[in-house]
This record gives sequence, structure tokens and C-alpha cells, in this order.
Amino acid sequence: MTDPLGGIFQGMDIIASGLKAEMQRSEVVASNFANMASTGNEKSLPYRRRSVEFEEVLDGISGLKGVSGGSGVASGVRVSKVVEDQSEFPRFYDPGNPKAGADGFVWTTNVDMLHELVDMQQVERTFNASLQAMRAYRGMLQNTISNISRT
Amino acid sequence: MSGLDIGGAQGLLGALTRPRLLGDMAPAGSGGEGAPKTAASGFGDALYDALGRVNQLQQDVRAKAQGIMTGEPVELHELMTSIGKSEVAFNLMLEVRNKLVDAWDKISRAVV
Repeated sequence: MTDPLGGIFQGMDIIASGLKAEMQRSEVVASNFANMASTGNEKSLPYRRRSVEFEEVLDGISGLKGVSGGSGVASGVRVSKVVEDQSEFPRFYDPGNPKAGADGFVWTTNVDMLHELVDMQQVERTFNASLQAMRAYRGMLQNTISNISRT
Repeated sequence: MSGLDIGGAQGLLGALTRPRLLGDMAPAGSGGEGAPKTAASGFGDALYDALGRVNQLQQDVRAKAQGIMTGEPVELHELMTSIGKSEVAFNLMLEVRNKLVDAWDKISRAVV
């Protein structure tokens, strides 16, 4: 049996997948901010900056069942993996620090605050854009439906 | 908000369309002849299915809202999407009903 009303919500599910992905990205950015002050040395490494990788989802958008119909040309998104930044840790000289190594240097995280701020801004703008797209999509459906009574 | 039970309306419409009245009037071209008889063939059945789907969407909203209130891992935008879907589906159902009632009205006032 075909699913009544199945296809018309395809766009909504795609936008929802984008919202979810941006939400996860913002969590990763928050984690970077929270661990910004972490220190370490050769033996116990400090926190590594994390970032997300997105991938396209062609089927089973947002894990919802019953997503059928639609044109089948569009696809959602999801976070495929969270990767760690392998760049070198900055270090500073502080022999009094309990984390200081034999040479008196302390390793600190490779999180760059300005970089993270820009990331956060980007997440916010993308999220708002997705919300706007959702509103537009809903408006289109509503307008079409109210046209029924006028035809 | 989401707790609107349309079971009564379903029963009413079911009673309206069950007597093979609308089913028999379906044009032969639209999957009548040759096409395999499935469970959802007549207009009444299609309507019934659509109503069930609207109801299901509303129950989905209720479950998600409840999930958020009770601390289950439901995200806010999921609830928002569900509300949007349920709203659109309900309005569509309303328009179809209006059309149906309009059509019935016209027929009932027809001069024979």
C-alpha cells in the first residue's frame, strides 16, 4: 500500500536532517570551547580539537520510516564522523606547572578560540537558514492546500 | 493540541462511505478493471487510510511532546517538524472534507 501523504513531507525531513547535523556540530564546538584550557605533556596529551565531517544521506532520511514518494533527487545530511585535529600542540615554558615535562614545557590544546568562534557563528547561521527553509516549505504546502477551496 | 481524537470522525466517514455507494461510482479507468484488487481500492478506503495517517501524525506529535517533557532523548526540532507535518496534514484533510461536503451539498440540492 502506498503511504498517503508520504511524499509531501520529503523536504521537511531533509531540512530536519540538516538541523540535526548542525545541532551535533554545535555540540562538538561546545566541547572544544569547554576543553580549551586543558593542558598536558608528552605522556598525557592535552585535548585535541574535534571537528565533524558531513555526508549525504540518500535513504532513510532522519531515520524516519514511511518516507516514500518525492522526486528522489534530493538527499539529507548526517554527521559521518567526528575527527580529531592532528596538528601540533602549542607549548609554553612553565616549570612550576604540575603538568610540566622534564624540560619545563607544558603542552596545551590545539583549540583556537577565534577559529571556534567563527565555527559557532557558522553553525548558528546555517541553523537559522534551515529554520527559514522549513518555514518557507511549510508556507508553500499551506498555500497550496488553501488553494483547494478556491478552485 | 495534539490530543485531538479523530476516531469519531473516522467512524462517521467510514459509515458514510462503507455502503458501496462511492466505491461503485469510481470510474472504470482508475484502477477498476484489470488492476489487482488491493485492500485500499475505493475512494472511501483511500480516505480512510489518509485519515489514519493524519491521526498517526498527531499521535506522533503527542509522543514527541511527552518525550521532551519527560526527558527522553527527543530533540526540539524533531517536535517542530512533527507539528509542522501534522498541521499541514490536518489542514489538507480539512480541505478535502470541505470539498466532500460541498459536493454532497450540491448533489442534495440538485433538481431532478
